[in-house]
Amino acid sequence: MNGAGNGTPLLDARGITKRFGGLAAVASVDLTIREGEILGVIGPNGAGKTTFVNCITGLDKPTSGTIRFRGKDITRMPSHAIGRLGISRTFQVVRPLTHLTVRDNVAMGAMFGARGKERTVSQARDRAEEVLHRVGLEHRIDHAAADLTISELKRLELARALATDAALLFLDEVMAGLNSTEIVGAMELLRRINRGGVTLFVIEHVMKAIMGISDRVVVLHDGKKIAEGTPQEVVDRPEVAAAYLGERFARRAQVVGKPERVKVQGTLVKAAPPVVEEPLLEVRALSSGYGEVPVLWDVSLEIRKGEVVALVGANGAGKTTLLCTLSQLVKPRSGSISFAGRDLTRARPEEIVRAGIVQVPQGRRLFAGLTVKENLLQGVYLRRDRRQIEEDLESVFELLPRLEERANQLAGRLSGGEQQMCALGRGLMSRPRLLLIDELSLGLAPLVVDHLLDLISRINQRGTAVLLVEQDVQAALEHAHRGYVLETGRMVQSGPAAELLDDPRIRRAYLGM
Amino acid sequence: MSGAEVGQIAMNALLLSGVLAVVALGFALVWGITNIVNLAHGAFIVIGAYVTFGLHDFWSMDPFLSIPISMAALFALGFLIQRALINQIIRAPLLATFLLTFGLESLIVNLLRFFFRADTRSVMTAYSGAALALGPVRVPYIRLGALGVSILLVLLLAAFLTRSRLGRAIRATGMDVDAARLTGVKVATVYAITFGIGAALAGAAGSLLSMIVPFDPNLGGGYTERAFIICVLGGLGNVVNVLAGAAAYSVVEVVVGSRLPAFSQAITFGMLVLLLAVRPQGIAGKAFS
Amino acid sequence: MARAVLLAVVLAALLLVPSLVSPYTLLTYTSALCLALMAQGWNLIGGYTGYAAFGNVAFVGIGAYTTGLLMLSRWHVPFVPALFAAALVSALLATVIGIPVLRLKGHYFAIATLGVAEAFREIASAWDDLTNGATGIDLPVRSDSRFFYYVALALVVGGIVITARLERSKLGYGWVAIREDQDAARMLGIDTTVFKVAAFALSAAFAACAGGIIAYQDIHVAPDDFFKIEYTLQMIIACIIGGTGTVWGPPVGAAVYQLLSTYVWSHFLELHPTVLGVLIILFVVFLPRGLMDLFRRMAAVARGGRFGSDVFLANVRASRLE
Repeated sequence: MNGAGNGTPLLDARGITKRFGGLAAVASVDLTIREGEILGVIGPNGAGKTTFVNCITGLDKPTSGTIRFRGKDITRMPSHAIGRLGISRTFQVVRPLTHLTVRDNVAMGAMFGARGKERTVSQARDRAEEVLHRVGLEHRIDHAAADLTISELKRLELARALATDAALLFLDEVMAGLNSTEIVGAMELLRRINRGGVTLFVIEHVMKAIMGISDRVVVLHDGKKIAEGTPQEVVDRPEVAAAYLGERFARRAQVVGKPERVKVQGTLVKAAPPVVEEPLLEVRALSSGYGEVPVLWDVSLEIRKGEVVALVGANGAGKTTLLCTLSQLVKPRSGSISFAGRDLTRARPEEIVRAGIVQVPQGRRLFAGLTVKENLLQGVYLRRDRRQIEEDLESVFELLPRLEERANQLAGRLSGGEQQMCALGRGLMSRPRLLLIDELSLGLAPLVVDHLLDLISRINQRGTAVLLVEQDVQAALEHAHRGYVLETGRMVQSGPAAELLDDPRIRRAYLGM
Repeated sequence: MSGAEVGQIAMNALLLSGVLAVVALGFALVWGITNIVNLAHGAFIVIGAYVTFGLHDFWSMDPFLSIPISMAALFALGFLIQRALINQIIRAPLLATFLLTFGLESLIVNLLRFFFRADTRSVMTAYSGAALALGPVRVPYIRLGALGVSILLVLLLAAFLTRSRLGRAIRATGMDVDAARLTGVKVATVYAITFGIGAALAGAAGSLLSMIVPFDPNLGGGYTERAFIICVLGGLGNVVNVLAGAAAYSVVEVVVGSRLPAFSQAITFGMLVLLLAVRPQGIAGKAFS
Repeated sequence: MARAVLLAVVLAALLLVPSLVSPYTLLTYTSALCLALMAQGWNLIGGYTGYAAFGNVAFVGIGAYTTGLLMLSRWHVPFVPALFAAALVSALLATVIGIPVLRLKGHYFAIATLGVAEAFREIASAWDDLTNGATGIDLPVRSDSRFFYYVALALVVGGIVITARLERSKLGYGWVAIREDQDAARMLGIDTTVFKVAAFALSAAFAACAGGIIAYQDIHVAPDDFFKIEYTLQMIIACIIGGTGTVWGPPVGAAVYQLLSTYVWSHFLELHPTVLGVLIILFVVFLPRGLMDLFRRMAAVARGGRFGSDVFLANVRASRLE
């Protein structure tokens, strides 16, 4: 580490707010980036990190606030002008120029960036070669970007941004999807780039990495800056752990992590133990991913009848991908899925629903232009038993009386908690034998979350098995019989929920230290 | 402009907007749900016109009675085309689907020209030419009947989309494909049905147009463009949006047509470009609810 | 080396064509060259920059009228300067139109350009004082088919050279970056508006040249003959047949198209446009990257690679909906 840079502000953002409709994705954030530093930015999903970078780099216009780069106001400048001033970025979802070679991708940065005017095309191509050597991609120089692996694509984006001779680089999750060896390499690379005089703004979910390389760390949560300081200072702040792990688990983990304090025994686990030991879902050595990009490796998992199983792990660990592979929205590459004795490895999505595996997706994914009742009825799309449907609708309304009150409102107009209820209700209408729930509490107030978790327990008591993905680790494990921990696409741990609750490794999986 | 003239213009706009609404609804449904801008929509209209013409010519079937037949035939054709062709490349870049439907248009129109020649046809019935006189305003019976059929079709479509299980699934798929899959919807089938319905509406519009205007295989092209403009004007949001777009467009077309007939396309497209330059993504959102 | 020899042979053959074929047959060759020219233009905006322009026929028409009107004007501008003036006028008009229209994306851009072409057809039909309305204008007669052939050939060769140079220039690189990812391109410092408008203006200039040649050869310019959607279709399909975003794609595609077209024309006159439709569909579904891509793959096979049905099914596999 080179200390915290020389302290001169390079970029100064004041009161940056970005609203989408009524929602403030970024809410008056003040942030200074100092010349020569590595500034790490962390925060849970939906914290507004990428939106903040979009505002600075001109891809989104901030609703209010001012941005100065080397004292110059760049708030309303178009992206290309900002790029030429010496600011560049990578994208969270890689955006290579797919049909071009690696060299040409990088040459683009060199010929249009901050010093592009000084270079001819062939000089830019030479410069590209130089940069590719620096990031260790020279062996792929004449390949099409489309042929690269995810880790190579991440380096390609980095190289392209570097080739612009930017003084300030915004790196949006350049390590997502890399394995641990690759992460160590990437950390070393970022340090080297920084030593070469480039200021870095690094958004990262891989905590180990961000804590290891950052001079300072800023934490965003719900669009606001909630902490700022050295990595150690930030990690010790209770509100940071709370943002990541949920308040209760953070408190417990703090106690557990410090042996001199009295160890608190596991609080009550609300779900009853499963009555039957019969397996319902068996997943063996499952691998899957998107296009060229692998996300899951050799994941095995078992859910028994009547069981609630929690699936926990840091952002980007592959939890959503696992649920979507079970629902067959993402096709498995290898491994097997069997459900109630049936092989569903090659089934189609509608066959999965018919078999009784129903997903309540992340972000609810309600049909915003349909009414609440229509959303619920869409849940029975595959069913023909009209009378039963009426009964089920009654029973969903009984379980979720709020939905009955709002039955004729458009789903898009509901509050967050009501939307989650509606999504649950839609799932229940399909008569699931196994309910897959992705991020139940995302963006909801604690009281609402408690209510929803109780609902899950009640649904479970009616005999439905549940696989619960939940960022509030404590809450998830408290309501589950067993738990699994996913880390960078691999299952690293499993066991009874009560044991996992007291396992310090979980905190490490989330916070990296 | 005299009062009678204004009245006639208003009546003509109303009569025009009925058929245009049916044309645009089919186009908007396909665009809104499957994100395909179907340039063969006009060709489907022409097929509908020839179905009615053929049935009238060979079996002397009343043109209004042939509408369901023309709709059924075009539903089947649309379903097949989506299934066999468009679905194969539906996720390819825009140029591909655009060109594919463009190619289909060319194929269909020229096959029609091959079989029916480029002669101008019209469907003449005993009641063609007769008109209702509302004071100084003339309302031809055929156009009035066409307006009635249009209203009926719009109501039926709205009822189908909002009340039936399949209609709900179609709307849900248009809003969120993956969420629809998670409720068990076979998206490829729903897309094919949607395309079939779009084609069926085009067929109905073609049958209606065959009674109103003399036509040849080139009848359709202008209607595809009109449908597009109507969608931009009204938005793809829902049936009501499209109806509003059709009404607004009809007024412009009738007024421009009566004042500056030579520049009607130039003026309407000029408006379109200006409108799009101000609101590059169109007026309203994509989903069809 | 083999390539240079091949090129020299092809060029020599093309130069000899007028002495080998009848003046009537030569017309076919000239139309293929004019189509190549239009396709080369469309390739800049549609192929390199990735904007699905469906109204380039507007510039064919504007080129035809400008050339004709300048030759008929009281200055009696000679053909070649009139042709260059027409290219310039077209490029300027394209700039003016392009600034608002190129802000649009996807379908909206495509239909807006389609509308622009329609609008120009109408203006040409209605502006009696300038264009003599639907009747059209008559140009001075020059019944020397070799002259038109050589002018068109020179322009196509020039087009190949220009495209090849542009492909390696910053302008060309910028276009491709815009096609691949407009936001990423902006972030790299590319002023996308300027680049897109440049592509549109250049493509208009190419189209205008083709329009001017056809006008002088046909000695008559009327709105419906020049502002016809078939031209737009033909230039796009020529690009797709050959391969969009490549130097050789448009001329190769135009030649193949003309060959097929002539064959179909002489055997199944009536079905001619139908075949055009089928051709479009087949290429879009099975060979969206065109013949140049196919040749490359076949060359790879010759070097020991594998050639399977995959070549034709890759597109469908990647873009169909299960």
